[in-house]
Amino acid sequence: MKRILVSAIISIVLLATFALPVFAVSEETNTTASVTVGAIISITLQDANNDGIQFGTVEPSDTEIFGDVAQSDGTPAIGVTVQSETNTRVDLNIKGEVSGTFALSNWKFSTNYDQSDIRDLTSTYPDLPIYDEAPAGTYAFYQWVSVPVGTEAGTYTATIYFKAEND
Amino acid sequence: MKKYCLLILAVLILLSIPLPVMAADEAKYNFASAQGDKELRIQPGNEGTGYIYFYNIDGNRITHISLEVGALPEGWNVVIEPASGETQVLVSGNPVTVTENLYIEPSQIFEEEPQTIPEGLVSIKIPGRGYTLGKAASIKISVPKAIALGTTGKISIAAEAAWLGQSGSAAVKQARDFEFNVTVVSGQTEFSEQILKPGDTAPGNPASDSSGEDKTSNGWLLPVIIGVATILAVIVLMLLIRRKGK
Repeated sequence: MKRILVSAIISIVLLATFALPVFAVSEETNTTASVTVGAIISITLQDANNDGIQFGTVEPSDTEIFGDVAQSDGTPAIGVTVQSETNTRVDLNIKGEVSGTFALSNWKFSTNYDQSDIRDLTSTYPDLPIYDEAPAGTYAFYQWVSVPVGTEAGTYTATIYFKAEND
Repeated sequence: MKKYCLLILAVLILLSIPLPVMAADEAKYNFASAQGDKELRIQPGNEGTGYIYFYNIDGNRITHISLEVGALPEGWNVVIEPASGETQVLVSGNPVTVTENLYIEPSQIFEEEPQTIPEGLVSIKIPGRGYTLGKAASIKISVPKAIALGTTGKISIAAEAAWLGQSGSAAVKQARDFEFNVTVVSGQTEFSEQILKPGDTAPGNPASDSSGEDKTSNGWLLPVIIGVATILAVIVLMLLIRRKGK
């Protein structure tokens, strides 16, 4: 009788001691396979005729818009190439920056040589990208400038930013 | 007759000059990047590192790259390496100082991974094209100590690429943003899973008890079992003593 009771006590104590760890152990039977592919983006800007964006010397005019001297139909001032290894769809966008008195709104661009979609450069990137989800290929950015009558003689410059936005 | 011969010779020489030599070296401004893992897991009070690799295989001008932190959660810290610094460059013989984080010279494509990699460069695999040598920028992100596990944060790095020696009325640049998504995780390496009941808080959450004790939802069970077992043992012992006495 005594032995049975001692055995019972030991059993209870052991049960109490090990109960929790035994219940806590559980094995995962499913596994997760994952692979991460990093985003690669390669964009090349190609300058027509290698002379930069160049408008030459112009006479102020309220009607005429002057184009980059090297651009022609099919040859934009800047061709933006999304290289073949780019593995994510990128939105191509454009903005401008000027210093001085010659307003940024005088600097313009279009994607068609016939100016059918000509727009002013803006200081921030437009909400709607110029080329949406552009796959590998070359995209045209024709460059234009208007020089209103009354513009002071001088040389005016701008910086044009091309941005590849990853969706 | 001599004149004609000379003229023919001149024409032949002119025709024999390869076309690429005749054409001006057309400027190609390439800005190429490969982002490492953008999902980072960092422990509270620790630092994690993300990488952005840059290369230049389609350009024929050196790409000068500036990097800056665009956005980060309050209290977090980001350090970009290499840090921004001044580089002296000779552009067509004229010295120019450029402020940048790194510059990438035009490089070639290799069919196989280069065995010898010059110091400061890294080998980058370009899917479908081969390998090239480029440079890495590391983005070191520090997470505050007092932050809840599971917190997520977005880090944005703004990159700008510029090229020197551009003529004309307008200079062109490229811009690109890189995002890293950070999740704050515990340092526990072994897997565990536990359902939190409403009102319970995750360990490490500043809203929970600051004592740091691991308060689990069934933490009361062990003391109760031990208590019951002890009482039973005492009762049995008392019964035994009583019997012996009889």
